[in-house]
Amino acid sequence: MNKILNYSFTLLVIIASTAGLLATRGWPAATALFPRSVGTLTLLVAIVILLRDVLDGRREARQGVANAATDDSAAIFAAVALRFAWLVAFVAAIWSLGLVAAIFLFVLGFMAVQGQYPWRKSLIFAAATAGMVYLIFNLAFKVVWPAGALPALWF
Amino acid sequence: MLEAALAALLQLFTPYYFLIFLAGVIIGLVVGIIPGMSGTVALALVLPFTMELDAGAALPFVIGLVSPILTSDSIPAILIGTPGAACAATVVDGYPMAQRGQAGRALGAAFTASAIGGVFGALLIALSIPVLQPLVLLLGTPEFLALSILAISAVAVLSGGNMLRGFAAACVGLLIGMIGRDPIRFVERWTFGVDYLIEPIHIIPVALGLFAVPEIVDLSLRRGQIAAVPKEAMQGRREGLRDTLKNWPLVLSASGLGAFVGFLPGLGSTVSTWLSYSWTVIVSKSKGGFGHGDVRGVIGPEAANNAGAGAALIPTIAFGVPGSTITALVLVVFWTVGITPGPKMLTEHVDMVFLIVWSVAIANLLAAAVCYMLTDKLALITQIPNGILAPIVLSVVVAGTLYSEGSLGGLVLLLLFGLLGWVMKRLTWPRPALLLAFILCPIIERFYFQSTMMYDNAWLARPAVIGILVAAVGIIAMGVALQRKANVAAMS
Repeated sequence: MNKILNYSFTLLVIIASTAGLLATRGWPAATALFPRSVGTLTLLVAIVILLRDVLDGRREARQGVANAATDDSAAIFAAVALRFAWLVAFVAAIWSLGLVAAIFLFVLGFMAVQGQYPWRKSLIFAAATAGMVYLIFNLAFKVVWPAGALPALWF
Repeated sequence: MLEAALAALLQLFTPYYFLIFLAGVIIGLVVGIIPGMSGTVALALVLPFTMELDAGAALPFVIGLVSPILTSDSIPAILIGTPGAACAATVVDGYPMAQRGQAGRALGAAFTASAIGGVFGALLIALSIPVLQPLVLLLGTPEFLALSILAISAVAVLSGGNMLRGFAAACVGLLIGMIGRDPIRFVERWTFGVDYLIEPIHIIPVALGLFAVPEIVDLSLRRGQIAAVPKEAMQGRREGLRDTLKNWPLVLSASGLGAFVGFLPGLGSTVSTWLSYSWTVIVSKSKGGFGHGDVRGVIGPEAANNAGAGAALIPTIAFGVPGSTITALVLVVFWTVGITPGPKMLTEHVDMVFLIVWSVAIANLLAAAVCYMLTDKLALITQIPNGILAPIVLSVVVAGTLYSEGSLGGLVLLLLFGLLGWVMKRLTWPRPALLLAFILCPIIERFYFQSTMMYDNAWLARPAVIGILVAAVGIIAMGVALQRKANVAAMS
């Protein structure tokens, strides 16, 4: 699993730098000088990395180095994907409800659902965190956060 | 110059500035105790808030935050054997000492050595000012361009992991730094019609995404609390203090070595502590106890990493060229508060340089004193469960990003860079190389065009430029040699 991620990531760098290089067509010479030079270098280095990793992988496979039984990458990737899903939901909540309400919901949900803490304890920490952010930013720094889309519809 | 030094000291002790400085020291102490939370993460976390401060408050705040981390991180290293990157060598002898019931002695030695090393580093910055002042005035744009290339090469080659990946990461950082309007003709580059990308990408979502998000995500994967605190943590610290003072030649030589390594770009505190550990073993007459709980194995690395942190600021202050992720973020703070490091800083803002010197020295002394007196209380921080710590710190990260960016675009970038940072961490692609290249990209591009406008291609023939570029090639060659050696060792 780690190997697949490794190849995919290097491949992504290759694709992104190629696409970036193609996008420089039509740019003035001075504008394109650095992007083209660095883009070409990135592409070359990434190709070398990919080739070397593939060769290393083959050699390891021949020598029987890889041990699938001890590879816990799949479980880790699933757990990390879940954490990032929480973060995406957090950003969506900020967009829809505003920052302070989103922080309250995020800490509450993360602690109670993900961390399996008791709801009462989670509620206290969620309220304290949201309150702290409100005190520091809204009251002390006088920050006006972007309004949430849903409250804006109602008020 | 003495007047400037005195004025800076008086300014630091003005109640408002001192309170902000103290806040930085407290945050640094707490962050250092949580394994996995490095100086880079802490600095990225507070970066949005420094925008609210003036230079006199922001610089002591960030210096006050970074310095104590290298002192308080010895608490988890010695008590529970989980080091931050900076004090991995301390574990080798510190942890066995703790297991033998000598945790207090090891901690006392570590705090004292850290304080002396930190003051050594601060003194070095102060002493370097009169030496560097005439030197930097001799350098022009081409030399600064060459120094920037040297810094990126060094970090790419030496910041850990595979050298080719380091280069690729630096290139990716440069490419990301080019997104937005170009600095010469203001033509949009890779904006894909997204208005948010027209202005250059801001450092805060990049730094927080690359360093803070992956660490917190990984922290949340580990269940339970970080560790329990042994009761003997409080005993024997005075003996450790005496050990350090008794071994003063070792403290000074390790501080000197740490400062030298810290001054060089790319090597960082990990290399400095391991080198000083080796140095400690070499210069010690009786070597049998090393690895099993010799107090000198704690003193050497701890003195070195604090001295190195101070010395690492010298190239950033004098040339405006950082050699590590932390100093790169300090450079961003300089820009945020309207100070351009380099020749101007050494001539027109000497008071600010001395403010940094005092901040480094006093933060190190304060950190050691607080750790010395409150080890048991500070160690309680390690008992905060990860499941509670992670969502709270993530909330601060998100609030800080939204505060600095003012739009949801910054949060989308934070998520993307968070994912990129986690994948890079997982695959051992060096993240410092990407961040440093991203920060230095606009400078390099501007310096290049200024150099060619002023000197055409003749800037490449300037002796200092040739010297610096030869040094860059030398570092790359050294990296290749080290990589080969590591590969041979891995094969055998």
